[in-house]
Amino acid sequence: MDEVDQLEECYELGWTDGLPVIPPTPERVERMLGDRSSQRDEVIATLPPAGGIATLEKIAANAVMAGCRPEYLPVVETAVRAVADKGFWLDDMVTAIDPMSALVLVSGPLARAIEMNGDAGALGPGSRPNATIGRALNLCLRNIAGARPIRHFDDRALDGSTLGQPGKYSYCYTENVDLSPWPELPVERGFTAEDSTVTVYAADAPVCIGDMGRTEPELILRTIAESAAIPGTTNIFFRQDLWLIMAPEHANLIADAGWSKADVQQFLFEQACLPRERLSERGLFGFMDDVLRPSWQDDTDSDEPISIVDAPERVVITVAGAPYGGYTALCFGFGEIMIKQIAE
Amino acid sequence: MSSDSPRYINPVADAYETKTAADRPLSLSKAKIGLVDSMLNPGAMWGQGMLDAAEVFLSDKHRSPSFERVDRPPVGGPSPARWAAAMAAQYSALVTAVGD
Repeated sequence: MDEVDQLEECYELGWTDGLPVIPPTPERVERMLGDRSSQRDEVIATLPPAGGIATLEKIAANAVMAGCRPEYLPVVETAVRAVADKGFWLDDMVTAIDPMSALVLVSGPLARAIEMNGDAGALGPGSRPNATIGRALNLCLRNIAGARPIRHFDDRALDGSTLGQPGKYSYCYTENVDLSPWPELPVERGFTAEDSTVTVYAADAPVCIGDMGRTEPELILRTIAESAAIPGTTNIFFRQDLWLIMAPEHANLIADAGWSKADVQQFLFEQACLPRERLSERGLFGFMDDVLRPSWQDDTDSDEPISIVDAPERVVITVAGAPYGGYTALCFGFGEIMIKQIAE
Repeated sequence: MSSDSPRYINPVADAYETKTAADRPLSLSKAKIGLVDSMLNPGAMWGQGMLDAAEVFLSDKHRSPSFERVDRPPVGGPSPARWAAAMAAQYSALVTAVGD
């Protein structure tokens, strides 16, 4: 069988995301496992909704197919552990009708060692680790968790997303630590700068918000806040974590004026709001019933607007991208971020 | 690699978590049965219609069961496990309408 036939066979077997894959031959999977070959049957996680058992060998086979180098395997394995944590709501992310995908942030020394891209085009094509680590996780979800579109009509096709989104191919980056004025996200959340970690979040596609030619933090953040406070998102419905990817220009203009991350979180919590009366008539609140309705809808005496998040710390701030350009990407989503340390 | 080696390592899970079903009641005669409308759009009343039909069906099949309509848990409410335990303590059986 030649290589073209192997690619076709992998597609026919239903293993791929539609793009060509590297066929997971025993030799390639062995090379991926390296000195952990004897641990191939170790159960790393159980992945809902299908409840597939993710052994190290299964993860390695999907990493091979995605095009990973062997040194990426610990990152992919940690990402699998992270999405499998019950706090991540993987079951909901896969089966829900909204388009969430696992956004993966790799942080710490290992991100630098494998040359992940946090600079120009961090969310785009061109970086092998960014492209293949995110893709490997998505292939694991497809082949182990059952994250295949429901149109397949079989009991292992459980991705209920109405539209899907490109992040279901790959959605992975690292922060631009050289240009960020703030510590990496996991350090802010209790890890050390020497820890290598994977953070995951159930995210919709990024929405890039431009604000240029201004230097006052309040004005830049006002643009971001008003862009975030739109009625049709899952965020305004559940009011959980909201993920930001701030380009260095925005981050440094804000930090140079003396603002900390906590200041930015507080400002966005206070400013990214919608009037409650207007909100009730829009977006996902259309199918509210007496049980699901949020408590603020019962407080008819108040005219306080409703914030897109229910607490300042729900605003998750990362810094990535080129040194030029006043952009911040909003990644709407639901649930809470999950951070796991990569075993050295 | 010998000639009878597999061509590929299958990336698809070949084992799945098994979940044990709860014990079934031996009879639903005089049983207290909960009926839950868990449709995505409960306002459309499709779920209530299905539950009406389930109530008629079960009343015909079993002797004197009683029925209660049960509200589903709110977003951010009790965990699924806690809610399931509460339902198990209150009812002999629970019928849930889903599907839209």
